[in-house]
Amino acid sequence: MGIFNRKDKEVITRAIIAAEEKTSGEIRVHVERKAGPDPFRRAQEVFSELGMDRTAARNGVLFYLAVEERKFVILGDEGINQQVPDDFWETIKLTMSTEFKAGRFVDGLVKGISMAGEALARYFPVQSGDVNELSNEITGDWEKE
Amino acid sequence: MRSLCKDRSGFLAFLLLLALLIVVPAGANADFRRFVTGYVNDHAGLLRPEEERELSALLADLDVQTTNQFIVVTLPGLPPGENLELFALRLAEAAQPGTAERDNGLLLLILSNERKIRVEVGTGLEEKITDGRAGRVIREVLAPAFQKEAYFSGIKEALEVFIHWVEPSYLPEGSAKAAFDFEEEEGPGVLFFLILFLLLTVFSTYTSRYQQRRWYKRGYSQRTMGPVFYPLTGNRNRPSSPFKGFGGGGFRGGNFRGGGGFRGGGASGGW
Repeated sequence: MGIFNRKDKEVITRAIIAAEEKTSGEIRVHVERKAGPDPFRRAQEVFSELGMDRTAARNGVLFYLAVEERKFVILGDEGINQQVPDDFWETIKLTMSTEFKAGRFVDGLVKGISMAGEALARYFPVQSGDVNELSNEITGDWEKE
Repeated sequence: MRSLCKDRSGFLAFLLLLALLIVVPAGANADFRRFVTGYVNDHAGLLRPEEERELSALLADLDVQTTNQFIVVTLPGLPPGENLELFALRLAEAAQPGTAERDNGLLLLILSNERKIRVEVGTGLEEKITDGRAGRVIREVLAPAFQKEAYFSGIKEALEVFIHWVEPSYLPEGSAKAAFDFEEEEGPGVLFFLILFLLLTVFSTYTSRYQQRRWYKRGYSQRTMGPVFYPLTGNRNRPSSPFKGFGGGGFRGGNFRGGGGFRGGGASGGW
């Protein structure tokens, strides 16, 4: 039902891993069919459900996609949100929606992930002994039938 | 807790799909959900089948009548590397007891080998089951019963006390614990500890200064003897637990919806 095949998923997962190599921040992608009336709020729920609000530095970034409703949300937790410019998430959003509108979901996500990764690397550079606090996996209903 | 809660059926269906479809190594939440398949999940084998059924029936009826969803999970111990508070919270999040609107779920987690008990309370019930109250149930109902290995009666009584607080009119008149009323535990209270802390701080500063001076005169480094800090925190909520075995654990951690919850920012769009 999702929009990615296995190969897409691998590309995205690799983008996440590459981004996380330079930062203690955590990036995840979650895909579902519908977000309901308030995608932003639903994304926040997912953020918590995935345990992303429990990173030590509150520096998780979630890319949330509701594919049937063609909606997506980018969320950055408190730690990273305090550091980035006000229009940071909007900038990522614009980049991604341009790609998404052209049907390039993988490209859009990879671009978004690397933009978020750069910011995370700047404000939360990787430290030795850094553990990957969350799994890199893409979660949810991502797989194309 | 599938099918137990209509309000979330959509989301639960999604969770089910997720659990079934996900081919990649299952995420943490999927693992958590296997611990919770009904109201009473006795993985530690503390209850006889008929006891488990009786408790399940009690909780199922409570759910139907009042929408409050209480869940009991017993486990021999935590999975390796898990921490009790986080584990309980994540378990509660995975099981999602209670309705989305009211967040009126409760998780009673019992670890038999580690002899730990934890109660997680949904935000909707926090006013009725406060930390202090949950702590008292652990100390005064569950711990003593468990020390006598009376698991069923302990759990039943604890649930009835919780139910009594949440839905005072639900339990039939004269039922075992409908009349079980704790007077609110004010205990030594915060003020007491504040004063104690101040006294000890003053005391330790005084003594350490004294000692530093003394040591210094003797020609030792001043640093040898720093101020002594007293372990005051940690037990503040259960200062008088007379029980040695059970009774640790603690009570409520946070709300089900994600502990700290999301506090950051972001952007949303469409395509």
